[in-house]
Parts: sequence; C-alpha cells; structure tokens
Amino acid sequence: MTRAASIILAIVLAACFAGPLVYDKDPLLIDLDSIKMPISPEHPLGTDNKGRDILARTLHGGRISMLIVIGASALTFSLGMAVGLVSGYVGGAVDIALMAFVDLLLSFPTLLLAIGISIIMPPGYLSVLIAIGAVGWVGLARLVRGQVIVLRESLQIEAATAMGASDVRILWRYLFPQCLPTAMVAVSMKMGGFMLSEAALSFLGLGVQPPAPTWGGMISASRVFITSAPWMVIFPGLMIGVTALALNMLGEGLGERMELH
Amino acid sequence: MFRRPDCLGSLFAALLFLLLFSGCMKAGDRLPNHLYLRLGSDPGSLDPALITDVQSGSIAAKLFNGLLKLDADMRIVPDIASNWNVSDDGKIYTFHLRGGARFPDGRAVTADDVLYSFRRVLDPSVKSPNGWVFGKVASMEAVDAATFRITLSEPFSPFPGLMTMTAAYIVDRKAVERLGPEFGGSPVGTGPYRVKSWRRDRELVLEARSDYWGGAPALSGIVYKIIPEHLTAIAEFETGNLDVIGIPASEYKRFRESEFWNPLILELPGLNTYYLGMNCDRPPMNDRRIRQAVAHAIDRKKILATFYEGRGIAADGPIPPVLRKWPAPPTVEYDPVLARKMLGLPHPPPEGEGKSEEGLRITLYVNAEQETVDMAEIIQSYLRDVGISLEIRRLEWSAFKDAINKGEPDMFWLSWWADYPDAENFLFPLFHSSNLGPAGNRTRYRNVEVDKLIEQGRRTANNADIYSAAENAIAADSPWIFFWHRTDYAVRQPWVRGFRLYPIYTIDKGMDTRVERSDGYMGK
Repeated sequence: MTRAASIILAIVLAACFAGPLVYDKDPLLIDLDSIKMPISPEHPLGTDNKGRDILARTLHGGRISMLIVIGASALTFSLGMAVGLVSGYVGGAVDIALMAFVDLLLSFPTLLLAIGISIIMPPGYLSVLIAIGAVGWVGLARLVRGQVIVLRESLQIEAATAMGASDVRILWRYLFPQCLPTAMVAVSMKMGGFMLSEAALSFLGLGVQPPAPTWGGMISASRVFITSAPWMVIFPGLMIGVTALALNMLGEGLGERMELH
Repeated sequence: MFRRPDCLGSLFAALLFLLLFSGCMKAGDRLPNHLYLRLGSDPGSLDPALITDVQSGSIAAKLFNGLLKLDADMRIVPDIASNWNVSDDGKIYTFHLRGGARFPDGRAVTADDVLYSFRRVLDPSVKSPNGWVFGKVASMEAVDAATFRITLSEPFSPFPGLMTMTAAYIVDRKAVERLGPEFGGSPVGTGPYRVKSWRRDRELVLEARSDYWGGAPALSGIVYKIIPEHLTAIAEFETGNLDVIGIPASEYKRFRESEFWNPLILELPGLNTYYLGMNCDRPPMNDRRIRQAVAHAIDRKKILATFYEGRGIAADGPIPPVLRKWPAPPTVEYDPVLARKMLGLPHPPPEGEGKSEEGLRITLYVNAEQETVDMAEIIQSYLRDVGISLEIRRLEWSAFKDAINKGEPDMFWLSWWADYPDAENFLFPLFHSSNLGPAGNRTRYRNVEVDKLIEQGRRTANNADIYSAAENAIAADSPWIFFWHRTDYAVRQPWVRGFRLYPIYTIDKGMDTRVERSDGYMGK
C-alpha cells in the first residue's frame, strides 16, 4: 500500500513541479476567443469560462496546493513537537496550561478554526498555510507528550540526568530523536486531511486569491458549470481525490509499519 | 438601487452548496394555485422605509401601495391617489386619495396614513436610508381625509417618479406602532397580498387578499423559496417545484439550446448599467488621462460577446438607451496601443521585462460573487497588457459596500438599477457632487459644470438637450467605464400564464399571473 501510494504521489509531484516545464501554457492567460472549449489537442483538458487552459491551471494549481500542504506539515511538525516535548518533560503547571490550551483548540471543529484564522489574516498563501498548520499540531502535541512522559521515566534519561546533562540537551539529544518516527508518521497521516482543508478553504473563497490557481479554488469558481462545461470541475476534483487518497494511504501504510495502530 | 447578489457571498453559498439537494422539496406538496418563485437570499426586512435592494422591493410592491405607481409601459399612473395635480410653479403637488383602499383590518387609508408613512421615512429614529426620496420636500400636509399636499422647495421634474418607489409606500400605522422594529418581519400594507408565513432563510408565503380594492389577484398566493445556490434552484425548477426562475449566466446557453425551454424564456432589456468605477478623489485615478487610458485598454464588446454570451447591450454612457431621448456619447474604442501611449509607456513593451512591472499598481474591489470575480480577472488580464498591475480584492457584499462607500479602492465593479424610469436617476445620484459616497456617487466625481447641468435638467420639463450635455461631459471625464446594460432572462414553466418581466421592480404587483397546473404534474 505504501509503495502504491508513493508511486502515485511521485507521479503527481513530478507532474505538478516538472510538468509545467514541458507543458508551458500560461495558466493565467485569458483567451476570450476560446472559452469553455471541451477537450481538444490544443487544450488537452479543455478551457474554462475565460479561455484559460485547464491542464496548465491544474498543474500549476497542484504546485500551490502541494507547497501549502508541505508548509502546513512543517508547521504542524515543529509546533506539535515543541509543545509536546516541553509539556511532557517539564510537567506540572506548564503541562496543565499547555494541555488546557490544546483541549481548547481540539474542542473546535478543525475547519471552523481554520476559517476563523483565515478571516483574521488577509487571504493568501501564508494565511492558508498557517490556518491549516495551526490547527493540525494539537493532536501531534498530545501524542508526543504522552510518549515523553513514558520516556522521561526510562533508565536512559535517568542516566543522562545523573551525568549532569542539561534539560535542553536531554530534550534535544535524547527525547527528540526518540519521538521523531512517531511524529513523522503522525504528520504524514495528516497530510491527506491538509490537502482537503486547503481545497475546502479555497472553495470557500478564503484560500489563495485569484487569479492564482489552486485545485479547490478551481472547483469553487467553476462549480456552476458542472452541467454545461463539466471538464472545468472534474479534473481538479480528480486531482484532489487522487492526491488526498495517496497521502492517506501513505500515512496509513507508514503507521502500520510503525505499529502505531 | 442596488441589486444584491444572489448569494450572500461565496462562503455562505459554498456552505449551502455542500448541502446541495438536501433542501429539495418532494414533488407534489404544492399549495394550490400558488406561484412558486426563488429568492437568492432572505429579504431581511420588508419595511418600505428600510428597503434598498431590488429583490425586497419587488416583494414589497405586492404588499403595499404608493400614491402613484408605474404601469407596464413605465408611465406614471394613479395608485392610492385617484388623481393628482401640480401647481403652475411646479412646486405644489395635490393628491386626491381614492376611497376603498383598505388595510387588512378593514380600515380605509386616509391622508393621515400617507403623512405618517412619509414622515416615518424622515424620522431619524427609523434610520431609513431612503430619506433622499423626500429630499426636495419642503412641507407635507393632510388637507382632509382624502387630500394630501406636498410642497417642494423648488420645481423638480422627477418627483412623481419618486412617489412610485418603495420608500413612498403607505404603511399601516397601527401595525407599525404595535410591532415596532418587528414591522419589517410582519409588514402590513394595502397591497393585493399579505404575508401569511415567513420561515427565515427557508420560505416566505404571501396570501392573496380577496378584498383588495383593485380586485382579487388571479393567484391564491405566492411562495418564495429562499435558495442561495443557483444549481439547486435550477434543479428545483427542472423538477417543477419552481414556476419561474431567473436564468443564471452559467445555464443560459443550455436553456437557449433546449427545444423545450427556449420558447419559455422571457427576456427584457434591463434598466441598469454595469460599470467599472474609478476613484476620482485620489491618485492615480484622479488623473483623467489615466482613466481614459484604462477605458481604451479593455475590449468591452468582446467581453460582452464571449464571456457574457451577449446577454446585454454595450453601454456608451451611464443612461440605458430605453431612457435616452438623445444621441449616445461617442463609443470609447478598444485601443491598447493608444492606452499605452496615454500612460506614457513604450509600445511595444520592451523585451524581457515583466509586463506588469512597468507601470501603475492599482486595486480593484469586487464582491465575492463568482461572476464578478471572473470579470475582475478578465479586466486584470487586459490591464496587464498596458502595463497596469491590478490587485483584486474580493469582499463579502456588506464589507464591499462599506469599502466602496468610503472610497477605499482605486477601482470597483458595480451596477446601478433604475428606481424610477427617468434619465435623472442615472445622473443625479451617481454623478452629482452632493451625493458622494453611499448616496450613489461612489467614484467621488466632482464637476461643477455637470452639477449645474443636472440641476438645471431636474428643474426643466423638456430636458433632453441638458441631460445630453451632462452625459457627454461625464463620458468625456470617464469616472466610469461603461460596460453594458444587462438583459434580464427568466424561464417559466409551461403552466404559468400571464407572467412578464418588467423593467422596474415595483411594476409587478402579481395581479395577472396565473398557474394552470393540475397537481402531480412533474413538468418536463
């Protein structure tokens, strides 16, 4: 399963990042002489209601969507790790305070929180990335904290403490590496969800602003044409579906290997 | 007047889209002899003093009457007033009320009710945005129960037209006093219908009044289904749950090409103007040459023919051709080379440079409705060719309205819809310097000459030459880029008879429409 997912992802990534080098149509080029053209040799996936090439937009949109997913994952990883490590290791009042905050965030529906954040910030790449990442880290923080609490009592840490290692050293040299695999898997399992959140935010008009294409944004802009020019909606939709599926499969596969279930 | 977009913004629409079809009615559960129509959003308030949008106005027209009204040919005819006369100096209007116009509780309308309703619009505690309708009124009095007199501060030729507007509708004083601010949710007037039930964001049911003084309407009632998403509305229509719908742009071609629906399509050149407004109050758009350059940079006719699928007629000035009794201002032709020259840029653009980096950077505000965002992207693409880099900001409708009223953006995309059929309605609110901001002149255009011409036209009965001069001066200054006058399209079910589209939203009082449908019939 992991292998199949990796292959699909590799293809999608290659298409989005290398594809535009080969297929070099401008995704923003408006051509009013060829609006809503169906699939043809000139426009392999047709054109939208402003004559823009759907294939070019799908490829470029994938780039943006992917970069946002990667950025949000990085944000989730760093925040979740930092909070989890500190909370688990320091314990006491700090732990209680941090976990109360995490519980607070967990009590909101994820998408609602993301919508809230992207309303406060002016919509754009960064706001989407932060909106998604800032919501994703809470689960990870709890996971890491749990692991740290167990590890904290281990002989290894006891020995390190006895040798006079500083707290920072213990966190960074002993606890971080041991939590790393779990965190990586947890983040990879979230990436599929990030992909969908990005699509949802763009669909709601809170994502990356036009004319820059994203998959969610493309669907949102063209959904009214689903009966009259379905190709405008189908291809970005397909890409979201396939990519999110592959990301989820990858996460599941890695999780199984790590016996996280 | 504004036409509010059909959805409250993409956020709301999209959320509802996620529930697509979940709100569908079962076929067959229709009220007998009721006309089923769609609303894009909940009307909010149906208090005539507070209404500022076309959709609410069209409903209020069925619930209330004014002193005067417009007939199907846009002539001003008596409504509650059986006749009226104007003094020789054009300042005193005397209205004689007809007997027999009654509120639902049986009370007859008197001149006191008229006075109360009009004063209410001017009462600061009501916070009516429509006070301008009575802006020229110096005094009003109820001479006796059946005579009402208005004295104007100066002669004002469009005044009878203003008296047909929703703001000049006569409300039931007792209901207003009983309901207070709730009146907007349970409006009571003298019209052919009254509100039977209103489930917010779901449906509004009007019931025909058999005791209406103009004779009972042919329908037993009207059901407005509140459906924000176009696709859902189309699906409801095609299953026969709606009787008439406005055709959204995305579906226009499909209905036109359908043999079944094409003969059932109704169309009407609208009394509206779609325009790109430019902020004349501050750089860079306060420079007339830059505004003209932008006008030359956009191929409006092509956009109309392709993207807009020819659903309108190209505009050369602010005034729709139906209301213009003089030659239109000269067409501004698409000429990007000239535009570049006017902006002081070399033609052709220097090789290797990013085209958009060379010239101006300006902001364009649009409301979040998808068709508007699409337009913005097209405009952006045209302006890129002449070295202008355009930043699009899409805002939810009320935030957008707020921003343009304050003059925040360099440019904005908007339309203006007639309140009454007079060219004056496309000049005074929009270009007179006394109406800066929310009153209508959102481009903050100031031209003493134009002010004078408009004022003169408003005082004069035969004003074609004066208005023509004003329109030409405005077109030359180019505070707006005139795009088109949109044609309205609707499609009806075969069982709907006597339904027409009217150029002004107050005309249709729901008197002539009939529904000839034996229930259970599923439509197409």
